[in-house]
Amino acid sequence: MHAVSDELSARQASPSFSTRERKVMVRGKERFGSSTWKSSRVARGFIAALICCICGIDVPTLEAQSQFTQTSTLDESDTRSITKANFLFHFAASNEWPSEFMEGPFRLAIIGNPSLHAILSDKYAMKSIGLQSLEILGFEDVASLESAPFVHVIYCEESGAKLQRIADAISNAPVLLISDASDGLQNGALINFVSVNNRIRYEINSEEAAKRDLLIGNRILSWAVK
Amino acid sequence: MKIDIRSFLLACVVVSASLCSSLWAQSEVDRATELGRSGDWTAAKQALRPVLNTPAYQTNGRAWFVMGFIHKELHKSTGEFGSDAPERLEAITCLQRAMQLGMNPTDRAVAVEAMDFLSRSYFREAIGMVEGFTWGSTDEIQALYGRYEALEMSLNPTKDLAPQRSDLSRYLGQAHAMLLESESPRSSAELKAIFEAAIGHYGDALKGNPNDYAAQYNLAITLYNEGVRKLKRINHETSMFELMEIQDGCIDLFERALSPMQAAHAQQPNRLETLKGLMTLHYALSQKTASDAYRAQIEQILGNR
Repeated sequence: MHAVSDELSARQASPSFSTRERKVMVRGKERFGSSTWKSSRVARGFIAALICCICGIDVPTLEAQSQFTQTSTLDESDTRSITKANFLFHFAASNEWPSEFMEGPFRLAIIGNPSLHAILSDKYAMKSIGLQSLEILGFEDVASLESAPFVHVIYCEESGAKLQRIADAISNAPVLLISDASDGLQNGALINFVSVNNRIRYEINSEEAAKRDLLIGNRILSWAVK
Repeated sequence: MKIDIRSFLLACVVVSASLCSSLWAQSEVDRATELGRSGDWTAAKQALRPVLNTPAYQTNGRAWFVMGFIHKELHKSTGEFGSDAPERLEAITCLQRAMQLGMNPTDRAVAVEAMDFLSRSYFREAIGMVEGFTWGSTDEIQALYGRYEALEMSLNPTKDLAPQRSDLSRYLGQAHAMLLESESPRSSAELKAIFEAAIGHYGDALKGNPNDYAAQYNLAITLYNEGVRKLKRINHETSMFELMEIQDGCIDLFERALSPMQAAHAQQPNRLETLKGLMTLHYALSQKTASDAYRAQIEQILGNR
């Protein structure tokens, strides 16, 4: 498992920027003359317009108003991670594990996607799966997972041979491996996120799930694309 | 030539009456003017207002001008506001009538200045209300702006006010969008109405000025952020069916946001906020290749700095 973890920590699930880049972007934004809608800015513009009025300049004109020019602020939340988090919760809540694994905490591990881990923790950490309390675990890479206790669900964004190695490492355990790769199911994932008409959907390898004593719920099966 | 004494006397009476009337009228106007000069605008109004509609004054341009000026000063001193502020409306009516009746060039110049001041006062109030926008104040803002526009047109009929109206629509769009971002508790019906109003105002802004970068960008952001808000409302009680339905609604909003964001980008291809918007939108639409392409453009621009 160590071998497949090399690049995981470097991956970013959402289109975010480093601190340095953000600083440059902020400077750039200022340079281009835009800013978020802030009352102080509006007030300055308003005062400018007022001064122009008092001074008898032919205002209110567009020139005076140009100081009001604002642009709104993009919500930088990771929308794909929000959607995936909701799916993951349903996958945890709507499938069945062997009875010996339905005691103690229910563990859901996220590998290499801190944004998804943060959203899951924020929304679902205090919830329960049946009678089990839900524990959301976050790992930088697959190697870190080796020392962790049994986890019921693993989500990782690896593909190809790296994903296959993760699947092989848990092949004898009732672990629901979920991926987001074009070859996810071929490489051992039981559920794989896919994009259909710009939407996040999922496909299921229910035969492989059955081999691992995992019973995929009807509600999950009914929404699967295949 | 034989003069009919009766006709002569009658003519004298008519001329004298007219002269007396005119002198009397002039004295009322002068008295009101004097009271105004001393700063007693209320007394000035009381002196002139009751007689203004009498035959002696009905066609007296200067009287209407003085009355208009008095109303304007009373509007200023009472601090009244709103599209139906009575002193301001009276001031406009009187000044417009004075201009129709005719005045000497000096009075006319002052009347135009007074009208211009009143026009701007409507504009300032409209902008002030946008700045401190509250849900439901749109009608009053538009009424104030409408009065501004009407006055401006009366002063300068050839003036093109379409760009300004377009700007006002954009400000209203932003003001509504700000309400959506605020954390004040609101019913879902109200939030829906605010969102639709924001989109409507941006649409109006773009009808007036299709190349308004800020309106295009803000429209895209408003649509996108609404989708994100919907996603964020999902919780552990949301069923799979609801989850799919909400996701469909969000994707619809993201897809709608793409077009205005692309239009904004076309206007300013190297603007970072638009590139970031496109990168984020494509990412939300699971279009990784397109998202990565915009990300690469951003990194290239940042790298060149």
